[in-house]
Amino acid sequence: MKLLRSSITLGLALLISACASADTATHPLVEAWHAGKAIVITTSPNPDNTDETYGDFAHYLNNFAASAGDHWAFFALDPQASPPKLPIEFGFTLTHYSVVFIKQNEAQGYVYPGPILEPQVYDFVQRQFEGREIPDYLYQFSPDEVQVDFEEENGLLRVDTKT
Amino acid sequence: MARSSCFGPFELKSGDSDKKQIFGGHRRPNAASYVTALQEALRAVDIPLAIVDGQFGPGTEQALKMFQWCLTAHPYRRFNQSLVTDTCKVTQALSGRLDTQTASELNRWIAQGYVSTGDLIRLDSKQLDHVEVGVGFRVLSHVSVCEGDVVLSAAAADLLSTANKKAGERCVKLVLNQAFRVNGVPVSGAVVTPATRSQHLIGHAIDCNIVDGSNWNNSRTFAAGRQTEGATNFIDDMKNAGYRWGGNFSNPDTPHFDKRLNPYGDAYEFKFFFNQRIIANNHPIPLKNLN
Repeated sequence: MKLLRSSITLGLALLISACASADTATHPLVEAWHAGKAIVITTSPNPDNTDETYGDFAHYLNNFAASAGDHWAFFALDPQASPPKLPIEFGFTLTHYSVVFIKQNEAQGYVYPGPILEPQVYDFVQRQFEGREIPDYLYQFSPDEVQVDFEEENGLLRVDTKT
Repeated sequence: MARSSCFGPFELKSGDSDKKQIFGGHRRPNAASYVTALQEALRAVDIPLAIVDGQFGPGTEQALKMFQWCLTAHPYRRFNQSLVTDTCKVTQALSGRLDTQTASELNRWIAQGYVSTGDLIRLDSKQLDHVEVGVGFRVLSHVSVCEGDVVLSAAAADLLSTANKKAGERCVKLVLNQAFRVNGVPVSGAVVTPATRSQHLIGHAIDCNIVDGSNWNNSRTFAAGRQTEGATNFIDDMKNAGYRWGGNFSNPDTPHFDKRLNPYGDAYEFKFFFNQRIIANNHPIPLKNLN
């Protein structure tokens, strides 16, 4: 009886572990990371679609998403959602409408604090991630660099300020 | 009772009805189908009206206001797939009632084959010494629009010409990122919900970077208070000329300048409808010479 109970407990533990692992491993964000896609994550907790600033932010982001191509993946993060719906953690506070750019095997990712209101910012990051030449003036639009790690054990992406 | 036309001698208004024989707010037995005639005329000049039913309800009133807006707001009319400029200038309140002038104009439009349109125009950026379109500036997908064209409402063309002039005076260059914006979601879908009300959606706004020497004054430059003197002076000039600068919004949008039209008024609604329809239906957009 004792052996049976132990077996059931062990079985349940393995099952829960397998489910948790499957949840994160199959999340499109993690899949995009492992596929080597450039990933764009934006925080849009309360879209105010009558606000002029929000309108410009949405326009440039959606246009970039429409033209970036299949090697890019886009996600919207609700920072108020509990539990978080994306398997990613940030070691700093993301302001509203911030945009995060990450890609596996890149020396760094980027975070732009607040809404991107100029398409040159997307142009800079796209050129950087795709290894293309960057005109001098575009460096004036460079977002802040961040460090990105993938924690295999819990299938979580961790983004921190670069030290 | 001073006039007579296919719309009758009455000032047709909300509540009138062919079925009930109410015209001009009063019952007038044995009159004709004046409301139906009005509704068919509005449709003939391509004013949107869902149904022709002889009842002067909210839909007919709104359609009539839209026609009255077209009379006053701009001189452009479609005619045989092309665009003409109407030389007959009319000042008309958006009353939603078929007054004498509105009836006369509606008859004139039908007689001349005019059809309604918006007030979008194209401005050739190559004519502007101190403005250029940026790499990220998207050329509108429209049969009339060419590379280098900036599309705006005719009523806001002065926004761009003034910006060009002031930029020259302050020795800065403007790099445009956006002017008129097509409403809705890109074909491949949206990451975030697009705005439903914006001065860009009617052609009353531009987004630009102010380039001063080798310095691009961008959002982060302004956020850090590191904008150049030339940029500060240019912005002051634009504000003094009566335009809004997005840097003064509660959520700052420093590249944004506009000539604001109340986004909750009839004029905004109608301009939005007609200008967006120009793009959706590939109606002609005239090239306007800034000189």
